[in-house]
Amino acid sequence: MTRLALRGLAARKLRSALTIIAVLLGVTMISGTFVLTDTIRSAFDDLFASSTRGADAVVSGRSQVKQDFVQATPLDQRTLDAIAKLPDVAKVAGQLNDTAAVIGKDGKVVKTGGAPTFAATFMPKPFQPVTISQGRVPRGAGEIALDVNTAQKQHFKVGDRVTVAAGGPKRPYALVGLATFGSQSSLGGATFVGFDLATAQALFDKRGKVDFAYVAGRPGRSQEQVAQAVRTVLPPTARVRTAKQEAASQAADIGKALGFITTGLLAFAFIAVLVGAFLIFNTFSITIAQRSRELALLRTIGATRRQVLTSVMLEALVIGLLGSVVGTLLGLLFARAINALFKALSIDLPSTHTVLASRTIIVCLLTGTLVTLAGALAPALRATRVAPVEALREASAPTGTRLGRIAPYLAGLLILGGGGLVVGGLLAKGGDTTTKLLGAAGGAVLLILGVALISPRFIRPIARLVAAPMERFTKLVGRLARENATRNPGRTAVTSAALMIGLALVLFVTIFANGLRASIEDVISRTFAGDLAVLHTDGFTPIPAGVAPVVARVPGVATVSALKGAQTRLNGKGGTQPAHEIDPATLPAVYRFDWKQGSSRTLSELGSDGMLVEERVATSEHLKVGDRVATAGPSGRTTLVVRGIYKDQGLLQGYAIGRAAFDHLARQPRVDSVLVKLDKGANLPAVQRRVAVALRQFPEARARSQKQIKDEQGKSVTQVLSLFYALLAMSVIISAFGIVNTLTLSIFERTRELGLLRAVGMTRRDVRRMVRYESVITAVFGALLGLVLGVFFAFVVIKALESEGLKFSLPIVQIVSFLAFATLIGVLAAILPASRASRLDVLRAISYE
Amino acid sequence: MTANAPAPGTPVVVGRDLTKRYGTGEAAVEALRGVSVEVAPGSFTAIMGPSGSGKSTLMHLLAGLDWPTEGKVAIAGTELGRLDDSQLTRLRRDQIGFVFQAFNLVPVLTAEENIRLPLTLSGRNDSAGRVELLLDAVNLRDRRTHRPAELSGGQQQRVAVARALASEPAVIFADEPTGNLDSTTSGEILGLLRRAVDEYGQAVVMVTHDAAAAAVADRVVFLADGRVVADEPHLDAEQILDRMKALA
Repeated sequence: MTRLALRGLAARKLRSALTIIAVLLGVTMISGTFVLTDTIRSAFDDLFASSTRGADAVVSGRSQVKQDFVQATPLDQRTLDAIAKLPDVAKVAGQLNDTAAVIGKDGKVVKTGGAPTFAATFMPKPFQPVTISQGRVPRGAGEIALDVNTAQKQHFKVGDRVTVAAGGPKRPYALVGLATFGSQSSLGGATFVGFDLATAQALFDKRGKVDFAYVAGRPGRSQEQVAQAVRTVLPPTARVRTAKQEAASQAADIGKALGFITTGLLAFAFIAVLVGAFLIFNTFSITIAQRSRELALLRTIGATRRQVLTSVMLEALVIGLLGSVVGTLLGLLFARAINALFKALSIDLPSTHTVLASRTIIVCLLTGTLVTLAGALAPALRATRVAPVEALREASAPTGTRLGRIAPYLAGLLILGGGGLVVGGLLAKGGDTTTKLLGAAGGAVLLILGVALISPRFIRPIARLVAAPMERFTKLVGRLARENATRNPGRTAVTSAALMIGLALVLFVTIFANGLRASIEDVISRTFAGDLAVLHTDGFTPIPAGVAPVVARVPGVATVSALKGAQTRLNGKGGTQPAHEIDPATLPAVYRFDWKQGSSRTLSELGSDGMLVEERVATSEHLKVGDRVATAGPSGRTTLVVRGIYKDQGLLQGYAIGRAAFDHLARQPRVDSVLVKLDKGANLPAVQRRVAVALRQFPEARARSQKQIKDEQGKSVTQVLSLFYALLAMSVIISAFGIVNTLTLSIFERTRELGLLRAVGMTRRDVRRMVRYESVITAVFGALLGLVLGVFFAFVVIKALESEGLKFSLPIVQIVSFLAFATLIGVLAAILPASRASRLDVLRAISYE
Repeated sequence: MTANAPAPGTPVVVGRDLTKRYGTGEAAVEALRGVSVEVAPGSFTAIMGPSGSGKSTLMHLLAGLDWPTEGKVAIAGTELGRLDDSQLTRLRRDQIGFVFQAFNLVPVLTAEENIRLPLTLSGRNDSAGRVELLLDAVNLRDRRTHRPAELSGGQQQRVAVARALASEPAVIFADEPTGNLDSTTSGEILGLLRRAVDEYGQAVVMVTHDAAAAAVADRVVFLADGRVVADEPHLDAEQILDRMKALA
């Protein structure tokens, strides 16, 4: 039986190959996901291990809340001196970290795609978190070093003059060295500017202070001993970690972020695998049906049911293993493709040598093989029920199975249960979010299975509808295509169901993104009363506070109001809430409060300890007007009193406080944004141009009009949407292969019929067209099912997020283009089968064995 | 009924010096070794011979389903060797009718649609009501909406004969049309083919190894080892059986 199974595979090369592809693509995604994130993780691990090289302990300011761009209380030179005097310490040196924008040769800020724009100082040996690979360490106020990657991308060489905006206005520096980090030439797309310590202290207004101190112990001291000694001389605002702890804690932060990427990518891989399982199930079902005579013959000559089962499952095992092995290896390429995709969306992740962990291999082989076996199980069991007498019959029509009889009830159960889980998981109040989301996702899978199970019932009426224009156009060809598509409803339905999954999700994310875009625009229109907003070119990095007075002096500008931001913790709770520093005097000119409790008077009476809380924070933290709230920020803590409650899903999410309160929480010299109101009757484009001229010294700051902000926000949603499309593409591709596979097998089955049609005068062109129409009917059927599911999912999810301002709308244009896309898939999937069908040898088709 | 009828005396099918060789060199097998045959309009020709005599090969070549290694075939005055696939397809559609042993009908189409198939494929409309006529002729008027699976073997074969007649072809090729049928039903089918010749002046070429079937024909061509060994006018079943025994 083993040999029979293997011979069978070899004899049916094309369909074996197509089935292998179904397994392979899903596995490729899993493998690629692991390879990519493992590679990135290894690059970061490498980076952190090298960043503490030479140090036994690292001292830093103690912070309540970790946040980029906002440092904890810096360390005094006196602290460093005290550490240096300790008997266990051989050497101590301080480092200063901040941000600085590099200006490219085109005069624009070098884009980092969301990665930070680091500025840091060099330390004397043995501390070398940053090393110079070319040139030398910068000395004095006019010199800098750049990371190798940025220098290469911008075509800067040692000796060039490079403009940098560090803390204040931009100015040119001499590039004297190129820096690397461990074995990395960049920090994952971030830009890096290195200064000497005194220069940085002056630039960033941290005279006599540093952000980190690296400590090396005397020979023979352990890291713990050194850290223990240092601890005795630290002020309460500082803390010490061993070098090992420091690297581990940095790696843990990155691990969390990477875990998120891994989960996201794996979710898409899971969808692809699910789609592949449909394809495997279908291919095996069809081959078993076609081989029923062969199997019956085996049974007549004495093969047991178990032997038949073993033979089919063995075939599945070989296909599963082959697909998994090839898929795992292709994952290496896929990881690169994903990385390229991220790069195209300006998400630059660091990577060194590709990492193929044994975990990746095991998970991939197991998943691919088990899914194939699971998909083949039902068809294999059906094979065992082939009666020996069927060997004597002409090609027998498949008889009704037990599953066929209970299918409608099972489908109804799955649809109701799955739909219930989705609705309940998303719309129910209270309960654990993770559990609810998992329930909803599981419900979605059940719902998909239910719809797939019941869909054969709809194929006839829907095919009639879809084929109507074809039949009008080419009577017989269209008619035959429809009849062929509906001849075996189960087969067509499962083929369509595979496509349905991918397309349902495509439509879901499309509608969701539409809702998101609309809600963003709506929020901006409702709350932003100003005419211009000055932000960092990347949209979120803080900009120098010096921007505000510069803009205020531009003719035509009536009012400017700056906003600062920091992450904080309320009442010692785990989650962080953003705090915004507002200026009650100028804010009303540029911002409309949507008061739930309070009024413009509340704003003017905010005081030094008052806070205005956004509605959702008030709800989740159970805050009412008059409550006292213990608040902790990156550099300190204070107690605030709730004075008012407002609603805002955009600009001022979290809560708003005055300057005095903010300074207690965060030492933040920069501002998030400067909102601008123009004089009455001022010409917006003209003033915007003047502001741009005034801001030339701050190249990282850019003034945008309300419309530009909306457009940019919309664009970033579109970018994420295209990332989702790219990831869902794999599922759609697999299901297209499913159509190719089903058509190829069906055509093989209809060899004689096609021969007859050719003999009585059907042209090759019409044969091709007939197959193409059948393919299009299948694809459009899948798309229509996907449409229903996608709209349902989007509707429920958007309903669940209604409080965030999302609104549901049916995108007619997108739905039409979506159906056109399905038609295209149908046409493309038909190319190979149609050409095979038309090239069929008439003589062989009609001659008898 | 006369649209495709050539001038009297002009053969509708001409096969000249037909040789069919499979494989090359030492392993080459000659299925046909120089067969010439002509079919007159309105004639009923049976091709007989033992298994492997080349009778099916000859029919495939004459019907333009296969190409001779040497020799020429012409149907209704058109030489097949010069035609590309689409021209050949059109010729089959308009000039040739087929009746096979089995797998004769498109399973998803009704009896009536199957009969109409050649007309539909060539985009002709049936203004003369030929399909109705044929439905009556094969006595299937009450079964017109049935699909092949709902018809008996004999009924299916009657549909196939009606379909072969639908396009008023120059010639009908029947390949063992009674091979799968019992003797009563066989008689019906042979009667239909006979009527096609007598009433519609249709030329019919039938390959068969059944002496009773061949006895319906006007002419019997005997093949053995790829050669024509006898070409006789109408014979009865006894005579045919004697010839066959002599050949074997």
